[in-house]
Amino acid sequence: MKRSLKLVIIVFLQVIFLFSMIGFKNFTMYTGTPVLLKTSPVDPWDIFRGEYVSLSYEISRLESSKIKDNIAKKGSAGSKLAYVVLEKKEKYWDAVSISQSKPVLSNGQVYIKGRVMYYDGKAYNLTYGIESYYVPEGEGVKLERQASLDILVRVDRFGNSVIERLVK
Amino acid sequence: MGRASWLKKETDLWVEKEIISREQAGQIVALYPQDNKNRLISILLILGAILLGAGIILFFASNWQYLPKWLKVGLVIVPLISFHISSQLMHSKYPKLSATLSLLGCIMFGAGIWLIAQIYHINAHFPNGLLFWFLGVLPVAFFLREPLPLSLSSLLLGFWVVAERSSSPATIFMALFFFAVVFYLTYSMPSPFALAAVIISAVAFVATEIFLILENNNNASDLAFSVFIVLLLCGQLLTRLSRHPVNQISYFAVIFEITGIIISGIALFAMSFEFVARGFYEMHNMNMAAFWILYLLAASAGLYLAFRDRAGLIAKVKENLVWMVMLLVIFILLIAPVSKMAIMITLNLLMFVWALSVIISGYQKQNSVYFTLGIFAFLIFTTTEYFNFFWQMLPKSLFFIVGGLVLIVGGSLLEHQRRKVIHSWEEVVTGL
Repeated sequence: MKRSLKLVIIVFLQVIFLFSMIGFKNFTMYTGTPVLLKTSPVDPWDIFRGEYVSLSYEISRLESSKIKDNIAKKGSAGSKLAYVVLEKKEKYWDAVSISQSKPVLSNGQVYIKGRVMYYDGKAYNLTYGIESYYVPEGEGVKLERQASLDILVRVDRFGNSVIERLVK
Repeated sequence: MGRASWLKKETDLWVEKEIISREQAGQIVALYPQDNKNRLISILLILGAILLGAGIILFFASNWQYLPKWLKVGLVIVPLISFHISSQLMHSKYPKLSATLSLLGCIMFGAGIWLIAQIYHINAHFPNGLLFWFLGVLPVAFFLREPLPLSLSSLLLGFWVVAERSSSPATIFMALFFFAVVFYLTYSMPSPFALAAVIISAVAFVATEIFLILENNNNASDLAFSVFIVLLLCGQLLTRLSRHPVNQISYFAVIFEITGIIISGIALFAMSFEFVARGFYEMHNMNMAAFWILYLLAASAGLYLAFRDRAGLIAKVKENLVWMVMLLVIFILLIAPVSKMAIMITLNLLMFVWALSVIISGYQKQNSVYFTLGIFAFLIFTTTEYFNFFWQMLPKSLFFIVGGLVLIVGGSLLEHQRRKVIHSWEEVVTGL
């Protein structure tokens, strides 16, 4: 095979990979249910992506006594896939149940995919892949001063989530 | 005058005097690498690509809010394609520029991954970004036989294994497979740049995995000292590997030797501090199986490489004496119940003995690089010892005045001696 043809194939695959990253996120963004979540910020910096606000949501720590807990084997270590059912309360969406298999939803509910990082005997500590909000340089410090923030997230029918915007 | 230019001038003279034919002169000149000037161009181009690539990544990291999403993505995709296409167009006429453009194309691919993660606030497992970047760059090295993308993928592989911080069998096997591919490509091209990068990454991989395995098997809070012992064993093994026949291509032997010396020097320097002596002391109560396996592997591989053929046994023992003493000392310190102070003094002495052995070996081989590295290590070690021992003993003003004087006088004397010795070797080589 000629060098130029090999190069075209490689560059094509590189570009396809980048567009597929965009495609997956855009699918969630345009088909997902808007979900408003309450969060509190801290302010680190990432060498590749710049300044960002690290977000800790109310649904990042779920006390098993306050929700319907469908996880039998809790264990303490390892990151496990979990489905958290969210329901709209007054302003924000709150967690109502957690399970390791896809849940059956009632009206007005969505489920979001997360990973249980650990169970401390009382509560699940989870991540959803939406814990970073990238901001222009200098903005992070201003946001950090706020005690709490609202984040509008889109959650698609497969449980994938993406941050749409920050609601000040 | 560079070595190759001097040789060209000399061979022209021999042809003129009818000692050798024009063809033989060409064959002799072809045996030696080109002048530094050509290498300087390559180095300048690579440095330019690295600076430009870092600038592009940092430009996107500043998250300029005035640019819409589609324009940001376009600013990555268009240069990515353009750099690769221009690399192809320049390939036959300007191979060095073409290689640099290919490297820039690969850097743009990485910039694209981080930019899209930033636009969509993706907070996925960070090392995955490095892994995807590596997987995107490796095909450029593999199918297009490009050494610079190979060097970049070697470094990305190292960053990935360190950032992944996992001792799971799946990660270890995956990393071993990728290292095998990268080493295979490095030797088949062969590329000295890629070799230096993959050696550093492989050593980082070994040190990280041993550290993680020790951490999993022990509850000790500070196992950082183990990293430096592993680095020392790897560094010493690298210098032995430089003599293996398989490494007598391109600059491979030199790369092995220099990386080995630098890694050993860094390890010995770190080992002169108190926390390493404490680590050695507490190590007797730990489960060190993973460490002992590495120790035995490094020692037996080193012994095999040093004494592969029995010819000149005494000379070989002399040549490898410092390394064998070092292995023995580490072994004794690991098993004998000696006090923390005794361990610290032994490790400090070991550091100086090693620096002196590098200087002596550089002197015997008339090798200015080893000689300079040895002197540099000796100077750093002496300065550190001065700080370690006299900081609390002397009044601070006197400490700095004496330290400054010792450094200026000692440094200039050493530099004078170094220049004198290297100059005398050059005189012998050029026959002046």
